[in-house]
Amino acid sequence: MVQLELNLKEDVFRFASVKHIDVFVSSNIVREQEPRLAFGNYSYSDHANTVLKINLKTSLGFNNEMLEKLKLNTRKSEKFAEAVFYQNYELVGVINFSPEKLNGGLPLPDALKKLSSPIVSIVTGERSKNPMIYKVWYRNQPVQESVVNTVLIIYDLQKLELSELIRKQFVNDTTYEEGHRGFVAFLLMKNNNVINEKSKKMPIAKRRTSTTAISSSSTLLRSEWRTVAEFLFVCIKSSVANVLLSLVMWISNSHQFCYKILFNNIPEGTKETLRKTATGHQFYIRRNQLLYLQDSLHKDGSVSLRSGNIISSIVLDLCLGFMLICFLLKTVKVDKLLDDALEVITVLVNTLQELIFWLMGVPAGLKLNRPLNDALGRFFMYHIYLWKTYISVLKPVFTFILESFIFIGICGVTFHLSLLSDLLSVATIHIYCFYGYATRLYGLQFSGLSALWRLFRGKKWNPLRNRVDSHEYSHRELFIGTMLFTVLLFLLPTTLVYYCVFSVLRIIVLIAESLIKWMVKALNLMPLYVVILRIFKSDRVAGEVFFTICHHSSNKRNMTLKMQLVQVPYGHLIKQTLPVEDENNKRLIPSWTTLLVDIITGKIIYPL
Amino acid sequence: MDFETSILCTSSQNRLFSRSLIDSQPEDLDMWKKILYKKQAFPDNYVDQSFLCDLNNVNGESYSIQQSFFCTTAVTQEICCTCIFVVIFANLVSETLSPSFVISSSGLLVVIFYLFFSTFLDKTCYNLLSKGFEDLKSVVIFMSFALGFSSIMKTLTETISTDTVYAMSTFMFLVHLVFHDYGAHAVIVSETISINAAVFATVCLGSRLPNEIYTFALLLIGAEVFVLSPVPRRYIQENCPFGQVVLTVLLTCITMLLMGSFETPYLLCTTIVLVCVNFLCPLYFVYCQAHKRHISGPWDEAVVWSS
Repeated sequence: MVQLELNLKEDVFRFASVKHIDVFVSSNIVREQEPRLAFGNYSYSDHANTVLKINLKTSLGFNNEMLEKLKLNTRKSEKFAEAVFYQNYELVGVINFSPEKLNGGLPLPDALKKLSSPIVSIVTGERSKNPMIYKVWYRNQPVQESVVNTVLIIYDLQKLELSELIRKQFVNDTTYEEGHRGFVAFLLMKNNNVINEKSKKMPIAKRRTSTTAISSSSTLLRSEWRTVAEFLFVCIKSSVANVLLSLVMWISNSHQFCYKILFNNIPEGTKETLRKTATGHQFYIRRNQLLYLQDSLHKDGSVSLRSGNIISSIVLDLCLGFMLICFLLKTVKVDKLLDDALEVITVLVNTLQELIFWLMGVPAGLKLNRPLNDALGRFFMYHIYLWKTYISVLKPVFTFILESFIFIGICGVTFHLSLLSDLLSVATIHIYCFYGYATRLYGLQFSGLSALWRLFRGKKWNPLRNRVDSHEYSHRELFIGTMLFTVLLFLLPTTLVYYCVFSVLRIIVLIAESLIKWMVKALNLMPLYVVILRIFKSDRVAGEVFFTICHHSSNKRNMTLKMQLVQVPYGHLIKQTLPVEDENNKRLIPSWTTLLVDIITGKIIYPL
Repeated sequence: MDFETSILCTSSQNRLFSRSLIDSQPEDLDMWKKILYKKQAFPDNYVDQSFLCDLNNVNGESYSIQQSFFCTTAVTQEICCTCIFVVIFANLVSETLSPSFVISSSGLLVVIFYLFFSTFLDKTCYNLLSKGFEDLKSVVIFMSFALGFSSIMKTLTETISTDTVYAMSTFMFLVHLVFHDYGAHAVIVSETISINAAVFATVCLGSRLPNEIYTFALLLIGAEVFVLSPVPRRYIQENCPFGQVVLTVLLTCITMLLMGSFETPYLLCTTIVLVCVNFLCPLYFVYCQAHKRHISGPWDEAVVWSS
């Protein structure tokens, strides 16, 4: 039999004109049939809202006798048990007294802190089949219903606590005025305090088990087998979680250790340069991920959604990498790989040489300026000759890189892809060089032409006012300026042809590299864990609360609401659980117009 | 002419206006001001002899026939210079004219004219030593740049077809003629554009020549005709009307001779153009003046003259 008592004080008379009371009920406590004593205190001030906080404690303890009695009751029949149960009075939660009706009836956070005076009043509740009717008692006499408004909200505390999204979203938000959000935060805060007091002294790894222990007690009400099975399941789940946790922490610890030993001696400049390559960058990202994992596991004690994402993406990475290694080992031989790679590079160089031959002739019917064409063509040819020498020098390095290419997949398929991107960059350095030369030449010509075109019209750039003004040039300046303008203008088509050809080649290479980088980034950020949880509609990723009205009385003064957790859309979920972007690493991606303007005015486009 | 009267009107009004700012009592009978915010001794609809002096062109700012003929001689001169240059180019291309002859004769002419101009005509501000040094520097710069660029110019437009080159040069010469400063105050006048267009045309034509020396000769003569010669000619136009007429007649005769020696249809063409420009157009202009309907006055947008 559940009974609850609240001691009354004399000055509750002031509350006779009370118009509104909120009662928050935690559903797992509703199911329990332990006798409880409610203790609370309040503070009262003239114009502010008053808050009465009631802590629930077991007065008599949960001894075997009570358990036997309950079991007897439940074995007889379900209906009987319900009937027995429903006739009990119970009250739990927080009572909010206010002299006038509030919107939503939310208590203010400051009032929670003024908990000093003893208990004021009794409120008892009677729960029939569906609705829950309750009365306010004063000195064992019920207060008239017309005086008091009550709203009863039933919620599941365990689910609320499980959901990480809600915790993250609502607890950090301290504005209690906005509708249900403040209410949820208030609930979580209130219950957090209760739980934290209990488990503060427990070690981190055991925190998870303590919460399960609390909820497991509520399942003892059902049939024995189910109870036992659920209890076992909960234990297994917690132990597996513990094992996983410790494994991950061990990995990240050892990785930190290795990293410190190996990389401490490398100077900062080299590290910066190495990080610019795709593989180095991937190593850096992986290290950051593991560091973050370590930190978050240490802080939270359990696998949060973000950590879960990271773990799942790393695991996926490793699996795919392993599969790729097996595949490569079966199908490809190392010597043949080297020859193939060299052949590809030679083909690239020869194609480029043919291209320049073609440009030196009459490309696509365009009549280019012969002396300039000859000069540029010969210059690039000589460069290609130098490049061929460079390749023969680079052979041993290539061998090493190719051999390590297969086995670097042990760290994940992302490393395979980033190594591929690096190899691509190394193989197309000469295209980048040519693009650089052609761009500089074209850029110079373009800026010279624009300045001389202003001279042609009799205008000049005014750097003091950042605008174009008219200007009286002397005859000498006019003569020489116009001659130069003519020269630059007629040499423009030739330079433009070279610039266009090399830009296109460079852009193709950039697009290929960007595709690979994009794949690597997608693999790094894959939120597999969260998506799978969402597919199975797990409670951990429920992000929103939803109120349904169970019952309301005819005069609309008493209302029972049920608060449920609902799932959020995938996009919202993924956005919330993506890893925080490192501010240092953020590089500004230029807009399309900037890119276009850069191409036209001849500025080098750097890889993003 | 009414230019002077209009100046008088404006200056007198300025004086009146400034005086009205100082005085605050009604004025005496002598001075009537064109204002209504003060009570004057005159009735409100009184006007004195400065009536309608703000209208700029109603009172007959008309040119006589002699004026028009005289002013168009500048245009004729410019057309003649261009034609002379084109004939020289044609002769250089067909190699009937040797470049050394062109260089030497043009250099000589320039020196003679320079000395003549500086000593006899412009007695006011020419100090032969200082300005002469400046001019010598100009000459050296012109020659060295022309020499340096002539080898580039030779191959610049080689791959462009001849028709395109001739079309481009014609267009550029037309631009040169349109934007040239003939002494009129108009917005379209831009000395810079005209010189630049002429030099551009010269450079375009340079690649049609067989040798680099030819290109150098062409550049030199182009610089002389289009950059150097407008200076004395403008001086003569402004200060010596008789000299202007004489110069025009001289240039016309030379042009006709050269064109005639070249080919007859060109001579015919040139004659027609020159007659039109110098005789028919001014006549038409004078005839049209009688039909002027457009009145401009103080209600027009203000035009700022840079002086």
